[in-house]
Amino acid sequence: MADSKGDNYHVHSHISSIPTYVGVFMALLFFTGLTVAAYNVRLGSANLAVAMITATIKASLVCFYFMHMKYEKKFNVLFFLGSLLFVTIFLGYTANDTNYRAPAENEIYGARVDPATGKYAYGTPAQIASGGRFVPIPGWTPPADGE
Amino acid sequence: MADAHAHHGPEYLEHHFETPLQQFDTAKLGMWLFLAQEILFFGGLFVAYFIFRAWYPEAFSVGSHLLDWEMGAINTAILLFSSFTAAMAVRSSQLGERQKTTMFLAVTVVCALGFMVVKYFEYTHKIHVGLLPGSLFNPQGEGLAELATAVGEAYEAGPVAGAYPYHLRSFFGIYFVMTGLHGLHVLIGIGVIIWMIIRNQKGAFSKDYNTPVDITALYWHLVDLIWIYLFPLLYLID
Repeated sequence: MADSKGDNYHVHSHISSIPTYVGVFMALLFFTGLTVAAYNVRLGSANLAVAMITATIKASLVCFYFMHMKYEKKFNVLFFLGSLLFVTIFLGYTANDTNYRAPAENEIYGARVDPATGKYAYGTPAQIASGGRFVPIPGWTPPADGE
Repeated sequence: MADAHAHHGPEYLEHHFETPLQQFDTAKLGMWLFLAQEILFFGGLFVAYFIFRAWYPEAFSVGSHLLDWEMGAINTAILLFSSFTAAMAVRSSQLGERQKTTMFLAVTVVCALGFMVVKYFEYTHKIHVGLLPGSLFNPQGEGLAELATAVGEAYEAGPVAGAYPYHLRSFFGIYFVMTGLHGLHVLIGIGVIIWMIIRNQKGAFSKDYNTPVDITALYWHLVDLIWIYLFPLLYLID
């Protein structure tokens, strides 16, 4: 971009073609549809991975073509990708750290177990089954046909 | 400094730059640095999202079912299209096509406004039924039935019927702050793009100088990028 035409004075930016832009837009719509379709397929924990991969493909298309990152000076790209690296480090270390922390104090709905008894502090079936993390819906009665 | 404009360069060349290329490269670097900062800015919230989701998976599952994925998908399509029109606006500006540039920028603004309208309907409904962050969480009216339905969808009945995850209030904290901050960025983007339309109509841009349009579009693409991740993370949890 900067010096491709050999002069240090004029700006020469890459101009993309209309078919390129239309093609990228169609691809983005396609991957959005894919994400929504994948949502309706139960893959367990792979659901998040699939969603993140398709989101990253879409993000890459936007970055490389709409934002012209493919034709951008490498120096600028370095800053942008560098920030992604740092967010990854931020997330990685924080997640790893919280995994090794002791359970929360015996707060009412936050404890996974009551440290004293090893059971849950509040005993409705829903709460016991869910480890104290579900609470009754206020004033709600199940539908007459017994759900 | 008499005759300060003479022989320095074209009208658009600011006095502290030697060449238009230097001015352009500086503006571009500045915008990419700003975008890097925006990534870190939203990054903090994404980290909070992932930590909360790891701690309270049931709350995120149910919370996601309480959101309307069709509205999220419509908003995704709207923003993707607006990114397309923003890129087309930059292209038109690079070719010196003034009227087309204005048209594409205007369509981008209309899309952004459409996005905010959909957001408005989503937010007002949540506020109306009391699905709010933290201590404001107070489901009522048809919100109670929605809660029951969402739990049913996420957990297929069983022992948790008639109950909901306590930490839904944290999910809604994450939801409102992340989409709210994103929505604020959309509103700011609308303002900046309108400003670009006004400047363009006054003839400020040409094939030699379209940097402000270029970097405005870069900002707009970032707003789209963030939504590309927000949509599956908030609306499409199983």
